[in-house]
Amino acid sequence: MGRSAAAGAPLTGRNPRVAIALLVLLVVVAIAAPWFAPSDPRAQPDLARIWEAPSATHLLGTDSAARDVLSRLLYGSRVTIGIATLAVLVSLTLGTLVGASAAVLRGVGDAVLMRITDAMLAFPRLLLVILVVAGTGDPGTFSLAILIGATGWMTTSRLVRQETRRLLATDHLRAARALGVPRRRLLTRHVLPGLAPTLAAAAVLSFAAAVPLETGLSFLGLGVRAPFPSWGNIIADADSRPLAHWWLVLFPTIAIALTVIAANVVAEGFARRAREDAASGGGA
Amino acid sequence: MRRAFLPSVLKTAALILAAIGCTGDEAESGGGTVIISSAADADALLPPLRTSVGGRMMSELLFDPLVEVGPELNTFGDAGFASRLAKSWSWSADSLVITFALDPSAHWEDGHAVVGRDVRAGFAAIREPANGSTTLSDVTEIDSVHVVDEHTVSMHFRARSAEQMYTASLVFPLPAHLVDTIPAGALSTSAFAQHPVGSGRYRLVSREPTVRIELAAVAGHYRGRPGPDRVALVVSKEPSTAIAKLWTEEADVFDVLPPPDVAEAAMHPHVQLVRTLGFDYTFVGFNFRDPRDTSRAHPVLADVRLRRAIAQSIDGTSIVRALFDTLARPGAGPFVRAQAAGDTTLVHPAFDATAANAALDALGWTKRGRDGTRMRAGQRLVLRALVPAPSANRVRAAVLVQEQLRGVGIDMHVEKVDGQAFGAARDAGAWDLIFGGWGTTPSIRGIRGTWGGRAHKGWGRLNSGNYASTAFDAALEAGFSSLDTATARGHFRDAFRTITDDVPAIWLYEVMPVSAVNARFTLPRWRPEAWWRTIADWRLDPSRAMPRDARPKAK
Amino acid sequence: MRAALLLRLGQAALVVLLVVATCFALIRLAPGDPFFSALDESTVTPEQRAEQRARFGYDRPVVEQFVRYATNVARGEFGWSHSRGEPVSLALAATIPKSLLLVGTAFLLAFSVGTAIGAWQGWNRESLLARATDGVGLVLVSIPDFVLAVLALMGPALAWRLFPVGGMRTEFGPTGPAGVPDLLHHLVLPALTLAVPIAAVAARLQRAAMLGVRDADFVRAARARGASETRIVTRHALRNALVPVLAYAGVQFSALIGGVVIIEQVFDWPGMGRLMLGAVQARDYPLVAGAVLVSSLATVVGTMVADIALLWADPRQRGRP
Repeated sequence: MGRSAAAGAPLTGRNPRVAIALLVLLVVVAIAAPWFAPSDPRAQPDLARIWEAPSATHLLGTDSAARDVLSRLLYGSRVTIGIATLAVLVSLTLGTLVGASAAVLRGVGDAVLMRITDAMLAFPRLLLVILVVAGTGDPGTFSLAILIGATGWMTTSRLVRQETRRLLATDHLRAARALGVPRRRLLTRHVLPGLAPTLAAAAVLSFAAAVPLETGLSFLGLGVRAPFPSWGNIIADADSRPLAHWWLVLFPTIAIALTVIAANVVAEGFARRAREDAASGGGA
Repeated sequence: MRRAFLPSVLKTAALILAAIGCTGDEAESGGGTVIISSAADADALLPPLRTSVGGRMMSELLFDPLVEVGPELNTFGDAGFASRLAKSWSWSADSLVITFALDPSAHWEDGHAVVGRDVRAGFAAIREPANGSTTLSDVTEIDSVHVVDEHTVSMHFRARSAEQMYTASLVFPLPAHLVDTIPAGALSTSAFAQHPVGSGRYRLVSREPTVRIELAAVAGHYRGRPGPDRVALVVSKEPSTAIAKLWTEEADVFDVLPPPDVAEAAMHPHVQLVRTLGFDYTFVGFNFRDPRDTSRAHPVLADVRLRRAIAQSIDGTSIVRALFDTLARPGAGPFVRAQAAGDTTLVHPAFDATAANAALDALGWTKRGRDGTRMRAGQRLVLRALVPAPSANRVRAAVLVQEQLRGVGIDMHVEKVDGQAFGAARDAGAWDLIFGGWGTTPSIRGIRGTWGGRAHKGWGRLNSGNYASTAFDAALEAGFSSLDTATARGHFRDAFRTITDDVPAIWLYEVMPVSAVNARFTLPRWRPEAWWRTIADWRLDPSRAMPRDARPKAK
Repeated sequence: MRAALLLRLGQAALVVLLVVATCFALIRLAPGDPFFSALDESTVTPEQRAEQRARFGYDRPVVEQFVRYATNVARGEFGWSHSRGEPVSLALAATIPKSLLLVGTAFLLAFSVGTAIGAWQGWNRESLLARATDGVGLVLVSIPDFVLAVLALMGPALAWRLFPVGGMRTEFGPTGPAGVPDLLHHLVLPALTLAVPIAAVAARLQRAAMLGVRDADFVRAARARGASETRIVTRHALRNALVPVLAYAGVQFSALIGGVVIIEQVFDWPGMGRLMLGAVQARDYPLVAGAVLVSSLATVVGTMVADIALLWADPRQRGRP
């Protein structure tokens, strides 16, 4: 179990299928935002109508520049989910590389890679990202996503290392090695497929961590910059009076919370599947 | 059991009441403690170094000038000017020299008397270019300061003008015995800048950068002991937190309330509102030079037709309405309406998107990129706008302006930069557009520093967009050297007409500030141009004293 | 035990070295070299500029720069902060204790309250209240911390006047020992907001662990011996169930230090996180880098302490690398 983020707390009775459906819906909405959004997220149609509560014309109200919040939320989902997805790809790749290598190398190589992982884990992630953002000024959404991914591979690498070691120790793999199957074939044909549930769990966990990180950065003004919408900076727009302009806080928060909960539930589901595989002694 | 209980209860009650009574007497209410709530720190504590409003507040509480303009804000001649460090003055026959007699009872905080050398030191500090004083271009009329004797100095002017005395009032003497040993240009990094020794009615007690500054009353001050015993500037990261402290009475003053908070103030009976004249104006400035190579003209903005087209793309009235409701007016030029010399009859390019589009087409920006941005010879019409992050209003204005420019095909990038970095970037000219703002004074002489041509000696120190017009400078010069008000105003009107035609900026707005002060203080006549200068005259209502108003025990 | 301890210490030392190296790499790799260009600000005296440049080896080969950097850091030299006009180490020294107070309180709150709630939830699994609180916990974990912070500030503080609106002390309030209640009053909201997400996860971990232990043999044996329910829980079940939570504690330290940045910003707590954000806006790169380095080193120490505690609590860990 070790130090994985949400490990060890089974959500009895929660159906991962609902959560998966929710996540899929989220991705669909993000991709199809231009079709769902009632207006241009940057349009300021009537400056007299700033900070309007939800109404018939603006279902989720308007913000400080009279922009439609619903449209900004939808377009913001593209940015937030886009960044999180790219970050996950990066962290998954890095984590798998490091974790699998550590498991295969064993001995000193393993120790060195794990110490590097520990070192990276020692950096508080938000601070690390702030440090790089401080050095580069405004990094832009693409670089931001890479940065978030590059700071979040450590948990994945631990999970992958643990799982790879277990897989390599199974009878099946031991037999294959004894038969002289080349290492690369071992990894790609046998280990990698066995890693699938673990990787899936790790990916979704990374996703669940990336979303609050990006929104937090945007809230601080260091992530997605104006005028581009992100769930974080919509909330920031209200921060002078969050109770009076409750719609600017409530809807993005619901969006973030639902995403994180769904991701955690799905990750739980994959993790349980991985444990079941391990218990049954298979996996390859 | 019960019988013995009652007497002991009574005894305890009596003791408690006695204790309350005792503490009631001891906590003798002093002059009170005034807490100023702000979202921005004071950048410096010395008059020649400060550029921010917070810096002005602190430095003007710590240091006294020679004289101060009267409450009528009359800047012509010397009527109404109040004596400060200078007890009296006399004019030479040709009016080119003013001789000031210093108040013999005026002392520095460390006990040394204020002497003639101190006036000279203060003047030298303003003139030292490395100090970056914002009043440098305001005092170009003063040729030199001579020490006649211990308590007499003479100020020599290059030429006669109507505002000579006002110019003199901008000089803050500095303690020569501490400042003369500091090498030229090293003032900002000196120990004295961190721990100033001043002549004002308050002295520095402690300072925590970006958090708080605490001042205490100087008991034996030559002008008398100030009312409030302590003044503190408390910095909150967010303006909303700074304002919230007013409602919870954790702070006593906030100088410019945004419109929603003005409405909110009505629900708090412990807060009084002061509506006053504004002395700040905000504009969107154009850079006349190329930010990548300031020796060359700006490839796009050097053309007045383009600047006019941009000005026509902005619907200033609706922006002002959205930001301030009724608490601000669209700008009328590089001045505020509180300044008598301003001209409100000027005609600025009106909001006209059709005309703007036509003009941009005529200038060759006909092609459109994929995102709608105009292009000319393969170049996109992109402009970088510098915005100071602490100014919430300017940040919001920038977003609104950005969208309006997008409507005519101009891509404006917003760069939000914090205080110090903003000043540095502004001075370096590393921008195409700047959301700038100036705090002015009752006199319009600051305009030489903000819009005067840099070719003119001592002018244009803050004119980082490099607007240069000989006609404008000449008209200003004529106005400042006129001796009577009517002629002067005539020249200024010519100057403003010239600058209006040149469109070096879009005059966005002029705030009509509403300040909020805790109602337990009775306020003297409010000075709109520098309200903090009257803090010493605030009177605390003893019946409404708070725990922090208790007179601090003598240390 | 000793061998395991030495191994852990050795690993920690290596990690410290790697942390310093990574920080150094980030500082040198940043485009435009903001570490040294920060010295060109007008608020830095020429003497300071020269001294800092010489001390950190400007224009020297990279390896030498790293060695200088590492030795400087070991001596407590982190560079010059141009926005505050003082050495970075002084700025950090002034603000670290305040952050520690906040983080420490949040840590204690989170783990004491969190594990207590989790243990109760695990032990009384069937109760409706336990399940309800579990749902609440899930929601609390998923709401971003800055939203919680803003709501806490605007609700209990501003709207209901239960707590002060940010800050660490009342202006001109009591100081010294008499000022402790005032300090605590200001500490409550930020510490709670920081602690809540962590308490929620700790609770869930503890609950799961408790579930595993609840029906174990040794518990049944104790009950058969006639031990009281409370004694069973505290003496037997808890100690065993504490292990996964301790493992989690080490990781969570890092998250706490990251979360403190946002909390300090919203609540105006004058700690290191607020210092960092101000430094970013002022482009004071040496200060930002110094803060990150110190936080990371603190995390390494914290994790190591948690590791050692784990070694003590769970003998099974002693054999593992």
